[in-house]
Amino acid sequence: MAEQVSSPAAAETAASLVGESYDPEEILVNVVDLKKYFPITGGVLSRVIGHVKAVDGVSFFVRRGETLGLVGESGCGKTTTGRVILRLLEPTAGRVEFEGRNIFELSREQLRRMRREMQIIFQDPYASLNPRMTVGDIIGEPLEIHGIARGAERDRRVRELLEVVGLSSHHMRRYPHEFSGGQRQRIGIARALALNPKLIVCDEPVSALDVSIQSQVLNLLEELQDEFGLTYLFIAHDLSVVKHISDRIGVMYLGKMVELADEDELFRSPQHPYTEALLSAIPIPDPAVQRERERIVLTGDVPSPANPPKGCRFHTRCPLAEPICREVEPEFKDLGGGHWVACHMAPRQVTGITAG
Amino acid sequence: MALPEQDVREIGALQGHRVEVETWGRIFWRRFRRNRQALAGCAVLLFLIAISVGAPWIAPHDRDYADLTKIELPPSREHPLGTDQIGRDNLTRLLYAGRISLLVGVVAVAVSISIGTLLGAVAGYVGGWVDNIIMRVADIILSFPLLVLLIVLASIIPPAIPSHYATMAVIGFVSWPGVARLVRGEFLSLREREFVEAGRAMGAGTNRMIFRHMLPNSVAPLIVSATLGVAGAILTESALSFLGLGVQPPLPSWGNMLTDALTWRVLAMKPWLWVPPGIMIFVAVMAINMVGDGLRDALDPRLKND
Repeated sequence: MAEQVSSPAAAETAASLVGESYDPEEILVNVVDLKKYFPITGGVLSRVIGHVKAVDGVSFFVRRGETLGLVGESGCGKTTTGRVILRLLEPTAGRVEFEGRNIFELSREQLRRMRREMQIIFQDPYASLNPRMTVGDIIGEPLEIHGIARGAERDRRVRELLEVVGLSSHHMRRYPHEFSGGQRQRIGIARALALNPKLIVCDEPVSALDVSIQSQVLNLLEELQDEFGLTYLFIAHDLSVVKHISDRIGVMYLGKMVELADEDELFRSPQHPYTEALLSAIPIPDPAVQRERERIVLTGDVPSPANPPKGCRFHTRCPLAEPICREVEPEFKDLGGGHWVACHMAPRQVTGITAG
Repeated sequence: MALPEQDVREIGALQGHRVEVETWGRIFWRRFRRNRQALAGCAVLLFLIAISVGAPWIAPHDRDYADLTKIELPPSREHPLGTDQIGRDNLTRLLYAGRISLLVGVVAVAVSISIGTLLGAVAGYVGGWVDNIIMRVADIILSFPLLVLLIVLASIIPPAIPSHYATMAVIGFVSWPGVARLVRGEFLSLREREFVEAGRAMGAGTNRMIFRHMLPNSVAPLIVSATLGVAGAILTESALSFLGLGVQPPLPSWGNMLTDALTWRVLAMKPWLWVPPGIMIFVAVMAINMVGDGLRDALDPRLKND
């Protein structure tokens, strides 16, 4: 839009991360250079005076049956990424290929059919269920929309789904307000499952829940994944939650993916200083270790996504920043073994967390 | 040992008993019932409706029978509220007038709610230029002084249309913009709610989104606005009829009964001609407003259901 990608390094990230070494059958979702800018309007005529670059050139892929965790501070664009992948928001640029088809090129009707394949679980279980509908109607609605089941058959499916998520079938005729947060989240999960989707975008599905309930819901999600062969894109800001459930983890900062690696690799050897700082903020449930460890405390605030810094976006807060970081945007490169990082200083020796 | 209601239901459910589900209607009624003002308003309103509907059976005289030998008689045994300028029984006319006034109020609101809800829903859901056009038209109508607009409209409606139907249509037409604004506002805020996004993620079409998800969640303010609107429409009808542009004689309405009493001589010396219709308007509007307030409190989703 207003600003073109200029550096050759950045231009290279525009390519798909799926190299020749990958079997295309293995990849369920391939996100290529995804951008989503929100216009900022001002003045009497509401002219567009700038853009909030919520997602600014993000590439990654999700394998069939895996859980890809997406973490980052609030405002880093992870939720927007999830929404654009489902085309609940229209993208500014880029591609999202679902089983090889670019979903941004689908017609309205094709998209409607495609919705069976990809569903979403929302963060707030209080806001995501229509308060005027019974649980049966909420879970049965996708079945009706796609003409899969009606009447008694629909009710039978709904009962099944309720039991799958650990509720009982007599809950069908109740209203959402009669349930607790954890139960409501289970209803949301049942609704997402109703269409037998391949991909479920989990948008901070446990952030609004009580800590004691979080693990129950996470375990449920894992069980369902095994049972139905689901693929998750799991968005969260809590690294310990993401670690628990993810196979691979992507770290986002200010609309960019800064690091992407297997879960254990990322925790063992974080290459991006931002990832390192995030990891050091996870509390360790051992007071002796916790007191001894060195925490990396970032200074300053996240810069405005309407006017991101030149060069590496993290340089304003980075303890390792060198002159090159202020000038050249680092390439998102593979250090080997599918460990991608966007940092001029990488690779370097880092000791991450092995405990926990 | 007493268990909380919630637990009792939970246990009952676990044991496979049929458990009573508390629906929205029931919650609403439980809250509404506690509001004495609203209940009183309800009772008064029902009474007014009953005597208006029952007018043909309970009225002591014929509505239009004029006895020129009995002009402007004060209240008596035969004529409890006296007689009017051409010798018709005032009580009879007051009862019949209730039919017209209440009907005009209800139908006018039905018209304005239908138009307003439809246009407001489309404006709020579709947005963009559609929203712009609809809301600018609404602004234009709102920017005219209401009475002036009513007078113009009332005077261009062909006399072949019965005056009370014309009055309903005119009042309904000028009051839809308020409803449209209300519904549009509700829709704009609902559009950002996650369950609406969930509907889109499921692939729900526009109709389903509007009628299953958004409208049912906007009914509370709509019901309140409709109720209060009835009171407003009754007043507007009175004003129009009072100016001679609303319901035309010999059909009586509370408003045109007041008009008929509009001389200094009657005002000063014959209070039975104008006090009763005035009281009826006052009581009806008060009762409806009290019911409306009660509805608003009972339907307010922000109140925790206790």
